[in-house]
Parts: sequence; structure tokens; C-alpha cells
Amino acid sequence: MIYRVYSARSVNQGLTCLNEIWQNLYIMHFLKRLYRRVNHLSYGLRQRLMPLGGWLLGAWVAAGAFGFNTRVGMTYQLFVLLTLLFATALLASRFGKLPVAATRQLPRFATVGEPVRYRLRLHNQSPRIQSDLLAIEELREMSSAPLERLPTYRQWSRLTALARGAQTRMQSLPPLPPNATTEAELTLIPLRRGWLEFAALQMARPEPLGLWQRLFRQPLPDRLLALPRRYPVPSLHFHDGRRYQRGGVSLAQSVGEEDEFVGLREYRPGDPPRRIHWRSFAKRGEPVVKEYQDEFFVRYGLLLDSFAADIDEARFEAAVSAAASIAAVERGPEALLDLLFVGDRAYCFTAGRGLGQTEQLLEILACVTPRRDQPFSHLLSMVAGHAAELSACVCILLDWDEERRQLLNLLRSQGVDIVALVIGPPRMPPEPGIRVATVETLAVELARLKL
Amino acid sequence: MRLTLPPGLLAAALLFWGWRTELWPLALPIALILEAAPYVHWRWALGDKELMRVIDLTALLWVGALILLFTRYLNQPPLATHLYTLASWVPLLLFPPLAIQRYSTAGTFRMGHLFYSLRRSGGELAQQRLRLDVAYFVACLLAASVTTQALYLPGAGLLLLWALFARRSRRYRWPLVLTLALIAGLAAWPASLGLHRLQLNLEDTFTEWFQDWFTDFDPYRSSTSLGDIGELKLSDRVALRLKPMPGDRGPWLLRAATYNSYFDRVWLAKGVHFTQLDPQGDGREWLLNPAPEGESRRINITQELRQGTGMLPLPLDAWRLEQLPVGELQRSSLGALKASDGPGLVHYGVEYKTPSPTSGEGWGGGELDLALPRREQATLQRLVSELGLTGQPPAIAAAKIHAFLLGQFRYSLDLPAPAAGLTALETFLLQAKAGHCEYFATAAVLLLRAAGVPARYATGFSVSEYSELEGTYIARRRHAHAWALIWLDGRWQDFDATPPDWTSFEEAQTPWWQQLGDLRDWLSHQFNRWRWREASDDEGDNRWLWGSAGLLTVLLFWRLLRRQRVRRPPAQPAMLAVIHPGAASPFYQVLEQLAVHRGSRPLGETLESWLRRIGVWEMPGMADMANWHQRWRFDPVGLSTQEQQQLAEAVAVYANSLAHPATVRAAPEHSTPTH
Repeated sequence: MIYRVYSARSVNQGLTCLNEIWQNLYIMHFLKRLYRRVNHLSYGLRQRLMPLGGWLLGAWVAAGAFGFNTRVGMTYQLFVLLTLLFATALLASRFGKLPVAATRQLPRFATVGEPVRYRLRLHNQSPRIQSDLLAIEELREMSSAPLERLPTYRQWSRLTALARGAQTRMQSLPPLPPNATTEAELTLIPLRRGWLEFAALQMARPEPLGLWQRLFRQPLPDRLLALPRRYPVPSLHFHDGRRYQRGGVSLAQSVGEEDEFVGLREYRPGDPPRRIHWRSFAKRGEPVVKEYQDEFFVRYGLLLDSFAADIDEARFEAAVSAAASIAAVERGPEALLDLLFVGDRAYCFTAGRGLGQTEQLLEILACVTPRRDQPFSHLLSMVAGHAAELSACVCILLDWDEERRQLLNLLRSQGVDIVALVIGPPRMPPEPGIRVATVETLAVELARLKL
Repeated sequence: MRLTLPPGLLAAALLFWGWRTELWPLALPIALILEAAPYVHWRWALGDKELMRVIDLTALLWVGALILLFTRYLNQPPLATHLYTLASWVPLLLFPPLAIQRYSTAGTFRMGHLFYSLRRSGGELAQQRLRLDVAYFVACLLAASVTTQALYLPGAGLLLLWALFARRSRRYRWPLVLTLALIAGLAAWPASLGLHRLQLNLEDTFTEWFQDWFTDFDPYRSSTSLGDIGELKLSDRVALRLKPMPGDRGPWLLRAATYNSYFDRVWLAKGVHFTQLDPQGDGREWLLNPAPEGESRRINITQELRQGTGMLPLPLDAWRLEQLPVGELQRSSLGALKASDGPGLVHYGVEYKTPSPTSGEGWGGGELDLALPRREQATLQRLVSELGLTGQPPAIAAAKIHAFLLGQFRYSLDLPAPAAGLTALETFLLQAKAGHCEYFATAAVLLLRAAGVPARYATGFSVSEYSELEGTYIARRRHAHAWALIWLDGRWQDFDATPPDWTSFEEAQTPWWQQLGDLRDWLSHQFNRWRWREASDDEGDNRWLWGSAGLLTVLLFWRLLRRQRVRRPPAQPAMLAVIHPGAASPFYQVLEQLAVHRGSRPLGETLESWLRRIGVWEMPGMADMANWHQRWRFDPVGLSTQEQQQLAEAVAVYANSLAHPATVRAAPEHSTPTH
């Protein structure tokens, strides 16, 4: 344990000191352990208790409280009766196995907040029909961000559910015929973007009295990528037209307006192999490439501000959702979309014209993490390198300050059309024309966005 | 959780509750109302707002019941009795929401209706639907258990078996379920008996714990301040009030508890047992001893009983108590009186006889009243021999001890530390020669015993202060006193060896603000007198509660009755009544016929395309009938009476044509040739 000497000169300092002392005294640690235990107990009970069992457990607790004094009333008899019923149920549930093997068929992607349905193949290996079974997914908890304040139990359990990644519930399975394979459909709702790590499938079998169900765990590791939540956004059509793309776009299926054939020249290292003029190559015995007029086409930028030093998680998630909504919007067959953000380094991903699919942009956005330790200038320098190629740029900003204003000015100075959305509330009011959305009003603001 | 119960189970549970709590005149109509729901073909169309109001009313009923029981508790503790009463009312208090659930189109409540904290929340939890049937069933079982009538276990067991049997998993055969439930049920009988016995045994073992947690004077044990160091601080709060007969001036020694065994600064009542006294007359009169022959005096005592329980400080020769409204009065074998199940403040009259040679409590003691503690035995015997008490008659020995203690010892609240090698009592007797009443009383009892005179240690109050403010004698907490009881002349007598100036000594220490404290005590006493006035007066005060609860109930039902009632189609008792426009269309009969012969219309296929597909669209009148039918169902204007009539006629013609197939010209591709 670390002890420090604190001198509180002001109320603020005093409060900071108190907070640090809290943490040094491992109260947070203790509280987390306590919450974890309570959560584990209540989660376990909810999974194992059947509906009637739940009510009778409540009656058992009440009968225990009221039947404390056996000289008054007969409540203790109800308590004893329920205790024995539960004991019998628990004992009866211990007998027998569940000879059912399951395999899961997950889709490639899911979307936060949207129920995802997938198939479960269940093979009943016994000569008996298996009915009244239920199943629930067990998801592995991802490590969550360290807590800065003392959370309430409700906040903590919400964070735990988020770390698990999806909302799962007991779902009934169809009767499984003997020695046969049956398909069932399960549903879950992703609660956060990123990878959902499936650990096991829990199948529940009721006991004869119908109070309790025993869980049978079958390890079934798998993973599913949850894409960010998306909102409706108007189509992406800027007034500004095409731009010169220096050097073209390598690996694209169709690149710009390349009708203007200029001529042939000798191969130079670095030339794309697709430009080799094979007939001339065959004639001359050495590679010759076709030379075209420089390329012009529409290229949009989608800039995601990931510098969230003092920004809470919900705001950053809203920004990612906004970026995903814009990335997924229809933008015409000829347009390219560059997704620009700074992760552990500066990234620029391009989609459109056969280069990459929208899905890939969403996959990338599903895994974006906020930067809390790097200066904003990283983004500024990256944007400076790309600004010349962009026709227009949608900027999703986490705040409004001088650096962000400079960023927009830089883009404007290169003649780039700008639509900016600040996920607020910002520290200072943004300049006119820049929209501000909060976590609550994001859907409305995105629907109103004029691109 | 939309868990339902089999029909009839709730009524059985309600009747079980009614039978056990003797509330069957209420249970019977409630059971009838709840079970009749499936046979009644109308439902109240209630929205979220109305359902919330029902819950609000239920909450109000609960608050009303709680207030009522709380006022009763103030007059008549203990709290547990009233909690049990509340528990027995639960089926009554939960009846409005369940009735509404059964008779409304909603059929369930949302969690958002039930919990105020979720009302504004649009979250998943708030939207979760809940049926109250099982909760009500459980409440009936619990409420039925609060009485001590026999046959609870078989009744509750059968009801639970019914519920379990109805909800059992179909994986298992019924004999297995029955066997398991019977095993648990049969084992419950000896197990509950065992639990009951266990509690009784534990109570016997820890009687002190269970019986006298909150009494001021513990009849079993009195820890003294002997040997404590420092200045004893005592409270000036008034503990009891005493009104004597005119002319009597006191002081009075009111004994609350008696002890017979001393060990290491603690006085114990060993081998003590309590006998219950029976009330006389109006139930508030208690005869402690037969009426004496001589003159009898009377005092009125007002004292507080914490949690309705406490020891009664009385004169040693009290023989009758009047106007004491307690449920139970027990007398210990050492003569102390313990009241329980009483109000928080009692005001009672005590008749006591004036001392006479023939009166007094019988000799209830034995060797314990002569026993000396081993550690102090040698010192006490040495002192007795020094005082020349050995072989002296009890009266002379007592007088000498009295003189010894009064002459050589002084009263002090400064408690010195015991000298090395000496006990606290020995320090008092041999060195300090100063102490408070516990020292004097302990020393007197033990010296008397050493001289061969049976003696006991008594605690209670010494009342001598007259309050001008209240017009009564009062005993403050600092007037709590200890003295000896001595067996002399064939009776127990008070033997107070504490210097009589102890009261003035303590009064000298009273703070300057005591007048204010007295005023506060008096005001608090006046409030308590109002609060604890006779129970019979309060029944009238509760009338407004009953009245307002009744008024609210009437108001709710009036509002409900005024609401729109929706008729429910009797053919589908399980469905909620929703009026479908065009429900009366006779074309449904045609569609039913077609569904039987050609297979039912798949979901998602329009009527027209289905009729075309099965080849009947071209039949005469079919297109018109379908159009009329659809207009009746979906046209906001509906179908005029004339058109309805035309439709009915067309359907009749169609039915006729079916009866005489020769006249039918079905579509060629699907028609069956009639050869």
C-alpha cells in the first residue's frame, strides 16, 4: 500500500487528495470484488431459477424473515417446506447428463443494437427425446477501462455487460429427436462494437419439480465482429467535382478517366504490372508500359477525430457511430472515400471503385480506439498530406478548440468542401455553420446533415 | 415473467387464507371475482395512465394500512404483532391490481407501472411485462401462515403441489414429480417440529438474552459500578412520577428488582423463575397478595415502558395494582414484577400495606440468601467479629451494621481505584470508606449475611423530590438506588444503609440548566400522555383513516365503471376484446368454407390473389363479395346498410349454389367436371 503526504490547499486539491486516498486504500478494489460477487450470484441465480422457482425463492426469503419466531404463526412451516422443496430440486437436478453436442454458425458481422440471429446445430446423442431445454451464450469479458470514480452497483453492472459485449438471454430450444441433429436459432444483441468473444454455450435442463435448472457448459470458442451503431444519413453528394489524383490509384479496378492514352514508354521500377503493354513486351523482349493522361475523379474524406483526452467513452462512441453512418452511406460508383484517423499511428483507408468495400471501413471503425496520450498535431500533419486530393471532407470532431479550427482552415485553404459535426457539448462554441450533436441528439443531427 | 396459474388455484389459495385468518367473508368474493374473469366477456380498456393510477391507489392503500398499524403500534406494542397483521392483509391490499390485471384489456402490468423509479425510463426493464398471479398466490400462502391454527402445513403443501404439478416439465413422468414433491412435503412435518423445538431449547438456554434485552432493570443480573474509577455521572431525566395520597410525604423506596447472589461486582438472581399473574376485573387490575387486614395506602405511579416491557418499581409491600393496561404481568420468585405487551407509558395505582409484623412476602429464599462471595468472605467475617455481631439476634446485628455504615462511611460519587490486593468491596470497607449506594447496599447485604441474617440486594428508585412544575413527586434517573432487603420478624424489610444525605449530595451537583431540562421532560411527558392515551379513545381517531380508504376505493371503482367497456367475442375467451371493423361480415363464412376445401390462405398473400390462385375469383359474385368484404374491413367510411344487405344476399346465393352444385360454374382450370 502506498501512503502519501497530502497538503490540501484548496477544496479542489482536497477532493483530489480524497479521491487518491480512496484509491490507495483499495476501496475501489474491494468494491469491485464485492460487486463482482453480487453480480455473479444474481447472474447465476437468474440463469438457474425457473419462473416459478424465482417466485418461490422470494417466498422462501419472506417466510424466513417472518418465521424467525416459531412461536408466532406458522410461517416457519412454509419456510421449512420451501427449503425442502428447493433441496429436493437441487438434488434431483444433479442426476444424469445432457448428451447434446452443439455447434454454432455465426454470421460475419453484427451491428451494435441490432439483434443478430444465428444457427445452432444440436446433435442429440441419446436414444431419448430431449425437450424443455434452454440455451444461453457465455461471452468472455474484455478488459474494460479503469474506473476513475466510485461506481454504483447499477453503473458497474452496466459496465460489466458492456465488457461482455452483448445482451444474451435464456432461449428455449426445440425438442431434439433421439440420435438426430436439429437446428435452432439463437439471438443476441451486441451492446458495444468490436470483437465479441464467445467462450461457451450453456444449456439448461429443468429438474422434475420445475423450480431449478441445471446448466451444462460446452466450451465453444468463437468470435463475431460487432460493427458500430449506424443512423440514417442523407446521400453523400458534394457539389464540387473531380480532382487530379497524382499517380492514380494503384490496384483499383477502374481508375479515373483513363481514356486519354498518351503513349508507350519503357518500364520503370514501380510501375504497376497492369500497365504493361503485353504485345510490345512480346515484340521487344523487354517490358513496355502504357502511359495515360493524369487521372481525375471524386475523392471524399471522412475524418474521425480520435483525440479524446478529456472526452468520455459515450462521446467517442457517438463519434464512431457518426463516422460509420457516413461511411455506409451511398456515394455513387465513381467516388472514393478516404477514412482518416489516428490510431497507434496515422491511418488512411480508401474505399470505392473496387478498392475496398464499405464493410471494410466499418470493420476498421469497429476496432478504433480513442487516443488519450498523443497530440492533435498528428492528425493535422496527416490531413495536410491528403488535403490536395480531396474534393470534400466530412469531419467528425470530439470537441471545438483552436487546433481543430486550424484543421478546418487548412482544409478550406486547399479548396476542400467541409461538413463538420462536433460531438458535444464542446468547450467553446464552434464557428457558424458547424453542427453540434450530443450523444442524445446524434440521430437527429445526422438525419439533418447536408452533404 | 408472464407466469400463469392453473384455473382454480388462486381461488383455493384465497379460501385457504380466508379460513385461516377468519377473513373468509372477504376471501370468498375476492376468489369469485378473480376466478370469474375468464367467463366474463367484457374488459376495461385501460391505458398506461390508468394502470399507473391503479398502482398508485394500491400504494395509497398500503400507506393507509401502515399508518393505521403504526398508530396501533404506538398504543399497543410490540411491533411484531402489527407486522403480522399487515402480512395477513396482503391479499386484500394486492387485490385491486390483480383484479384490474384480470379484467383489463392489458392483461399484464409493465415494470414501469409498478415502480416509480422506472416510470420515466424507456429502458428494457421498464418495458418488461409482469403478471401478478403467482405473486398473489405466494402472498396468500404467506398471509395464511400468520395465525397459529393447525393444519397449515397440509394446506400449503397441497396448494404448492398443485402449482408445481401444473408447471412441471414434460420431460418427466408425473409419478416422479409427485413422488419428489411428496418426499419434500412429508419431510417438512418433522423438520418444522424440530425447528420449533430447537427455538424453544435455545430460548431456555439464553433466557436472559431473549426476555430482557431492553428492560432498564434486568431481573437476572445487575452489574454494579463497584471498582470503577472516576466520577459517576448520572442523568437528570425524570424516570417516573409518583402521586401519593394527600398527606403522605415519603420518601418511598420503590423496588424494581431483587438479587440474591454476588460475584465479582455483579449481583445475580440465581434460580429465579417467573410466574404469570392473572388480571382481575376489567383486565387492568392485578392482585399481588391477598388483601391485608391493616391499613392500606395508595400511590399512583406514571412510568415509561420501553417497547411496552419493563420492571415495575413498587413499594415492597404492594398488594394490588389498578389501571395497569398491560398484556402480561409476571412475578419473579424474588418478588420483582415484570410487565410486557403494554403501552409505552403506564399510569397505574398501587395499594400497599403499611408495615406490620405479620405481613410481607413469604420466605422464598434459602442458602443463597446467606451465601458469601469466596474472595471477600474472610474480610467480611473478620469485620463481623470485630463488630461483635457473631451470635447476636438479627435485629441487633442489623442495627449495629446500620450504625457502622452510617457512622464510619461517607457518600461519594468519586470512585477511587481498588487498592492492590484488595477487591473493590474490600477497598470500600477497609480503606476508602466512601462510595455510592451500590457499595453501601452490597456491604450491608454481605455483612448481614456474615452475621447470619438472610439478606438480598434490591434496586429501584428512591423517591423524595417534589416537582412544583408537575405537582407530583418525581424520580430522576440519578435517583436510581440500591439497598438491602433483610429477613426480619418473619418478613422481608427494606434496609437502606446509604447515608440519608445522598440525595442532597447529588442535588448539589445538579447543573444550572436543570430547570430547562425539567421543562423539556414535562413537555415530553405531556406529549407522551397524549400519545399513549387509552386505546379505546384511539379507535375513534382511526375512523378517518378507514373512511378515507373507503372513499378512495369507491372513487376508483366509480372511475373504472365510468370507463368504456369493451365487449369480448365469447367464442375466443382467451383473446382480448378488440373490435375489428367488419367482424360481422358474412363473407367470413365463405372464406372458412374455402379454407376447409382448398387449404387456408398463407400469411402475407392478399385475399384477391389467393382467391385467384385457388380459382374461385371468377365465380359469379365472388369478386363483388370480396370487394364489399374488404371495404367493410378497411374502408374508414365502412359499408352502408344496403351494401351489407347485398353482401349477405350474395353470400346466401353462394351458399345455395354450394348446396346445388349443378348451378355452379367454377373457373375452368380448377373446376371438377360434373359428368
